[in-house]
Amino acid sequence: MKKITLLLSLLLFALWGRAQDPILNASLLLENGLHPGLKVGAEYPLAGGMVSKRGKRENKRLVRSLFLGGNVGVYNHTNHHIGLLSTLELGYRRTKAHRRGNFFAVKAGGGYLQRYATLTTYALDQGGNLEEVNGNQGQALFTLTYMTGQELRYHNGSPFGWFIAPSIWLLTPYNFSFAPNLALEIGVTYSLGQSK
Amino acid sequence: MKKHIITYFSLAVVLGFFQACNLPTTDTFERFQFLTDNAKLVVTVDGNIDSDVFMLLLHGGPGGGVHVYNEGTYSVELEKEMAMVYLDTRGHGGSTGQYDRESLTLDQVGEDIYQVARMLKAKFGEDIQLFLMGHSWGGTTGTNALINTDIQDLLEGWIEVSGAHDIPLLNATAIDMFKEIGQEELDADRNPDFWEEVLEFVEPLDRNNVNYDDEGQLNAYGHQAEGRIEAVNYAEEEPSTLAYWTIQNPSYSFTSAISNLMTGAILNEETSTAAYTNRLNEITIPTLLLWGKYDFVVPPALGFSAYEEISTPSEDKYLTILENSGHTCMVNEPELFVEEVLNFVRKYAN
Repeated sequence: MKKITLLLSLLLFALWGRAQDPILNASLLLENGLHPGLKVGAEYPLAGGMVSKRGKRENKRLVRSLFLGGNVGVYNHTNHHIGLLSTLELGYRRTKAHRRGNFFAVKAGGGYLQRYATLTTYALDQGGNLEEVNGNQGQALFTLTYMTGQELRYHNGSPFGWFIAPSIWLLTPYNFSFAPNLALEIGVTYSLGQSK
Repeated sequence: MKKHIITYFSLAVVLGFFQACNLPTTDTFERFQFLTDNAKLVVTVDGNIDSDVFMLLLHGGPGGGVHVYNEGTYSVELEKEMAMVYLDTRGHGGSTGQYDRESLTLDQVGEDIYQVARMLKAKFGEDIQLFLMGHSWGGTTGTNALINTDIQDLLEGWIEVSGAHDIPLLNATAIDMFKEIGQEELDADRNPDFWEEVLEFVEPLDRNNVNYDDEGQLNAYGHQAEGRIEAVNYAEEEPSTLAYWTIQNPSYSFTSAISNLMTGAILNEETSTAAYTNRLNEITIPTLLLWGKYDFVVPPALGFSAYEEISTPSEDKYLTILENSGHTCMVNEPELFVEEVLNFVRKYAN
């Protein structure tokens, strides 16, 4: 799983040079809605463009984008573990350029979560003696995320933006099967593309 | 002004989250994981470690966790005199790991408890005085460990608090109790609507053959019933708060809450037929049985039965019925609960 994530990450970087208007993002990550962390990533548009529509009250300019995203993050579940994650996601973004750049996006993907135990982990050896052992655990991670926010480049030309993104994670293996997780991101974006 | 409010609010939220999981604890508080049979069990030791007296506490459930037991008057008082060991059993609370579904059984949980007892001796010293306490489903898992492993060799005593060591007997005696007390309450015209509903439900049940669904309904009525009994005491201090269960919680989260439910669904099925009465004679160590008089969830009849069945000499076994308690006598009558536990521990800790 680690190797697959690494290969996909390399692929993502390879796309960097070909990408048009990539968007960088950094966010406060709240794992399980509680445990604080940081997450950074980038989105690379794969397809899309602007569509203009004549409305009753205003002319609409909608920017639609299918994008590939890559992220790395870290969070601290105090008294339990530190999680290090990397994900790749495929998403769809719809931005109302005529409405100050308000947007929503949905994205789904997968990756890898490494949980580093911050609690000492003990075990008994064959002789019944206590020994410290590795309590870390790696897990496959699947994500489904909804994002909403604003791309200011469509409002005042600034390359910055902001977003809020609740997401559902699925972790496996977890005990005898899998476990869900609710995460929340509050962050900023920085567009490397042209203001429009 | 609006900007300032948002800034201060954001700051407060962030600081609050960074405070998450930091509970008020004793100076000797310690939390660690114990790896056994591919499960990483979260163990919290809180209290007077210098006493060399340790109480391993088993939580209710299945599908619960031990965190809720590490709060309130009784735990504070007990921690002054001994080290309380709060164990999240396999698949519960903050415990994680990677294992087959087939290994999620009562026997495996019993084996885990035995291994935790061995670990505590290895970590804190072979000469520590170790007691085992199980509440509700902790009476199921504790009894399982007592009769299926060598844990009795490591223990100074066993305290069963409203322990569900025989579910068929539990169901039968719960029906009896609902009928008897329900009729008394009806005659006294106390909560007639509720008691009529309960009596209507239990009347047609075959006390010797209660199905899984009816068992669940009996359990639900059991929890509701004790809240309608005037004699049951609810201490003013009820420390469980939303923050304690969420933000301040050391090991719980949405993830573990769902995992608890999944674990509970599997273990509930096996637990529903668990009946250890016929093997209680294998228990020989000093035993204290504590039950609430108005415990409809696990009726006191199980306590009376256990008292008769265990092989512990009569001078070393005790049964106390707390007159103003329901299923959680440690919350209903914390002072009396603590007194009973301390008297027992002081007598059998060398």
